[in-house]
Formats: sequence, structure tokens, C-alpha cells
Amino acid sequence: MTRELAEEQRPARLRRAGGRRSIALGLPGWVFACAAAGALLIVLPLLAVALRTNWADFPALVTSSGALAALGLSLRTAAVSTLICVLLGTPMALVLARARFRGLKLLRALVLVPLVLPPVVGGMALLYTFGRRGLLGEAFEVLGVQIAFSTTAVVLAQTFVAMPFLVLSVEAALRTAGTRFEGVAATLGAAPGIVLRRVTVPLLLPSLLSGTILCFARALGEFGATLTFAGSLAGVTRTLPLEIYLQHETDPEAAMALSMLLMATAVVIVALTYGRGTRGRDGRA
Amino acid sequence: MTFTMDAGLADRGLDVGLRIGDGETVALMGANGAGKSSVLGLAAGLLRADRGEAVLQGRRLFGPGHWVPPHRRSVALLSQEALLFPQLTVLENVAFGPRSSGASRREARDHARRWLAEAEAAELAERRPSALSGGQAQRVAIARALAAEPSLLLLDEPLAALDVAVAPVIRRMLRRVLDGRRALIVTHDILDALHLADRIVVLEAGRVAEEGTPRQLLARPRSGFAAGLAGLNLISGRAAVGGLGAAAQQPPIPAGTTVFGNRAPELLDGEPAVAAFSPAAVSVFTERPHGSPRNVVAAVVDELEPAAGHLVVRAGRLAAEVTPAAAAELDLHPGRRVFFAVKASEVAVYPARSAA
Repeated sequence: MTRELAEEQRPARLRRAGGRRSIALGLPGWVFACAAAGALLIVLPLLAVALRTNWADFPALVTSSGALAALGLSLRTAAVSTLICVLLGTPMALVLARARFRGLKLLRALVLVPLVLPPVVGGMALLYTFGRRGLLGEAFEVLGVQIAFSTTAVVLAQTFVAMPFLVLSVEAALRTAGTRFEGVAATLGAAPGIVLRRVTVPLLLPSLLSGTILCFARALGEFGATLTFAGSLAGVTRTLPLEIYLQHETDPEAAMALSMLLMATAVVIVALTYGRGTRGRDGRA
Repeated sequence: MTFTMDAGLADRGLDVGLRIGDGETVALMGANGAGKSSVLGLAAGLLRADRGEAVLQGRRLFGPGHWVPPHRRSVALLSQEALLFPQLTVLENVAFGPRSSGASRREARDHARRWLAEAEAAELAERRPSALSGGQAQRVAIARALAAEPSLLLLDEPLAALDVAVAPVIRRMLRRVLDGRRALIVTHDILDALHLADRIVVLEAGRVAEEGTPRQLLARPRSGFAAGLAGLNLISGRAAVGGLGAAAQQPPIPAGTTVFGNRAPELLDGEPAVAAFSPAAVSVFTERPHGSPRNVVAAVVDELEPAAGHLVVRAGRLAAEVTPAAAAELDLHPGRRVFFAVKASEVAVYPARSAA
């Protein structure tokens, strides 16, 4: 996605002459062997789910009331948390990429922590912030709002784990793009607000889109933080991954069918995110 | 009403005083790393000076405790790459400046069409930047910069990225649109300076080494850079009886050597001065020549370069022109010990500082 952006900004002259059709370099055989082993490790489990799914009962299994409730909740919460990620994460990426102040590096490191943190730990952290006896929980308690173990908690947990994906993607694009277009816009008389709206954001759109899709995918698949911070109340906090985990104990066939559903969603998302970039490049050739 | 800037930027070793009159186009020249682009950055507001101030038409752009952001300076910057906004059409690109300063969509478009026509690019209006050639893109970028109606136009090597076939056409167009406009153009190309500029300012190591009209500069260069542009040998030192006492570190000329030449009448003994002479006036010998009143210096050939119809023999700071036949006869090659001789009558000695 960032590569595509860079491509876009090279002057036309360079782009035409540039080596898009580079020759395939020879690789030693063992690289292919390792690559094949890696690919099998990923593809085989996917295949296993597809093969073990009870396709005859598939429609019934994925439309049971429990499944539908979980799916609906998952889609709603993931959509809301993705929206929050875009609204808060984009400004964060802009600040991280463009602003200069002390402690910026530390801030970046902290913001990206959820990427490497086990989600269960993230859930604990949220619990100790927004829970009944948490950092802010008491204040919310006074206002009569209880966040933990509510649908709001699901959204918070998803936002917590998904935000870094958006920030990373957008920040990388901002760095690749550099500030030259923005500099030109400013010397043409555009105030910072206009530069952001008419120059920066349009240049960011491809990476913003792929960041958003990744964010949504991460939110949709969120399990550990949700379970810890929001629990597993049917219809309120039991999202699709939680439902699958529960069904796995009681009704493996239903769990398999729902897994298949999530997997198909994941494949579509990956295709949307990465396929789009490839098509775009070829389309311009 | 003028533009003046006197500013320093410590971490780039820059300390520059500059003045551009009303309707004057100034070429800023100098070797790579001399600080030319930094000067533009300071004027445009994309760099912050450590000290000094700049004033444009009586309005202070920056100074101690004072800072006008780039978008309020009325200083437009045109760079080597066109940098057209890829998501906008050509017309929208050119209309960007007027739109940003509050013109209605319609006014901005009309204005943009006028400037596109001025830049001989009217037919490109509806295209996307990705569908333009390098020359077309630069025309549009010029139109876009002019459409913002800046009080000062900065051009950073505007023709350097263009094909040799395209550059002259764009240069002609630039000459027309820059006429009577206050502009500062950074360039490596003496053709740009001759065609476009009323005055040349030469920057060396972050400081103004000399300035003058192209004619003054090429006739009497005072900096090594300008001498290179003019194609002259230049030796600096102090005025001495009969010519110039050479300063140190100008191989192959030993420090203190007197370079005999025609002294400018205004030159006082001991005053900083330079001696200039054409490579064509330099004769090359393999034995020390005797007799006539010549300047003679022992040198070791560094390299030979082909030039139009002759060869340039370089030795340290000096260059001599010889015919290919002479080069063969003298067996010139890098490392060859030779003597360079130039008649005193061919050497001009004049003050190192301009009269102004």
C-alpha cells in the first residue's frame, strides 16, 4: 500500500522509464523449499476447516439464533470500533509522522504496544482502567455508567487492539509521501487546514483504506481482550469468536461452520486489502 | 519595494545577505552544497533561520520573535520536480492557489485558465498529472505558481529535470513570464542565468561570494565558481608591483609568486585582488621557456579533457588549451611534468571585491 503511494508520486517521466517489469532473479532451491513449507503451514489448517465443515447443514448452522446474534454483534461492534480507530488513529498518525516534540519516540512505542501485547493482558489493562474499581471506573460509576462487561467494553477492547494497525499503516504512508507536496501547497497560500483536506488526506486515501480494512479485520477477530474485559454475555458481549469458542465445547459442527464463515470473511478482507493494490499497479501499466 | 533577507542557519553553515529589487530576477548560483536550496527554504518559510530577518514589500516575513507561516508570505516555490497534486486535474492544480486564498470556484477556474494559457498549456486543462510528460508537467507547475500571484517567486532548478530538447522551450516561456516579476532562481546552468536573470548572486560555502550582472560576472569573475562559469583561470592574492602576489594553496602556483599582468587602475598595492586569464592564453612547454616577459610555472598534468576542437590540459587550479596535434607532440598525459606560460598582457588583475 505504501509502495503504491510512492509509485503514484514519482514524476510521470520516471514512472514510465522505471523498471516495473524487472526480470525475475534466480533464487536458490532451498528458498523455494522453505517457502513451500511455510505456505503449507498456513494453507493446510485453512483447508482442514473447509474439509471438516458440514456443508449440508451449513446454512442452518450459521443461521441459528445464537450464531446470528453473535454475528450481528460482531459486525456492529467492529464497525463502531473501526470508525473510532479512523477518527482517532488518523490524527495520531499525523502527529507521529509530522509533529516534533520531546517524547515523541516514546509515545510511538507506547501506542504500538497493543500490537505485541497478549490480548488477555490488554483486557486486564482495560479492566483496571474502566472496571468498577479501575482508574476511571469510579468516576464513571458516579455518573451511573458501567463500562466493563457491556457492549461498550467490547468496542473499547476492539479499538484498543486494532488502533495500532491503522496508525502504523497511515504513518508509514505519511513518511513515504514526505512533506514536499504539503510544502508546495503552503507556498501556494493554503492554510494548514486546507493542506490537510486537499493535499494530505487525498494522498493518504489508499493507505487509509487498507489500514481501515485491517483494523476492521482485527476488531472482528478480537477474542482475548474482549473475554477478559467484556465477558461473554449472549447478545451483549458474546461476539462471533467467543461464540465459536463456546460452541467448540458443546457443538463442534456449529463451531466449524462459524469458523468457516469467519475464514471466508478473512479471505475477502485480505483480497480487498492486498489485491486492490496489485490490480491498481497493473491497471496503470 | 523590495525583498531583503539577511539570515543565518548554523547547522547548514549558512549566512546570507540578499536583496531583490522590484521586478528583478536574480539567479542564485554555486556549487552543490553551497546552500542555495536552503536560501529558498528560508524565504518560503519551510526552514527556520537561527538569526536574521527577511522583509518583503515592507512586510516582515521573519525576524527575532516574529514568524509569518508559509501560506501567508505570498512567496511561491517552484521546484525541479513539478510536484503536481496527483488527485487533481491540471486545471484544479492551477486553481489551487486562488482557491486557497478565498476565490470562488468559478473565479479560480477562470484565473487558472488564463495562467495555463500564459504557460502555453491551455490544452492540458482536463488532464491528470499522471498523463503529462515532464515538460508539460513543469509548464503546469509554472502556471500553478504564477496563478497564486506571489510577491516573490522562488524557482529551484526549474529546468534541471527536463530533457535537453524540452528545456530551451520552457526556458523561453519562463523568460517571458518572469519579465518584470520579482523572482529568485536557483540554477547550475549559465544559460538559465543569462536568459532569465538580471543579476547573478554566487554562493560559496553558505556565503555570498560575489554578485553582479551576468556581464560583469563573466567579464570579471571574482569567485572560483564564477571563473568556472566564465571559463577563465582565476588566481587570488593581493595586488603587488607589476601584478598580483598569489595567495597560498593554489597549486601549482607557489604562494607569493608574482603573477604579472595588467593592473586595474583603481587597484591599490596590497589590496585583495584576483588575476584572470583565458586557458587559450596559456602555452604549454616541456622545457622551461626563456626570454619574453611571461609568467611561467612548473606543473604536473592532472588530466586531459576533449573540448570543441581542442584539448583542455588541467593541472591543479589551472587549465590550458592546446590543439590535439600539440598534445601529441608534447606527449601530454596525466603525470607529465610541464611548464605553463602566459604573457603578462593576457592577464587581467582587478579587485577581489566588487566596487558596489
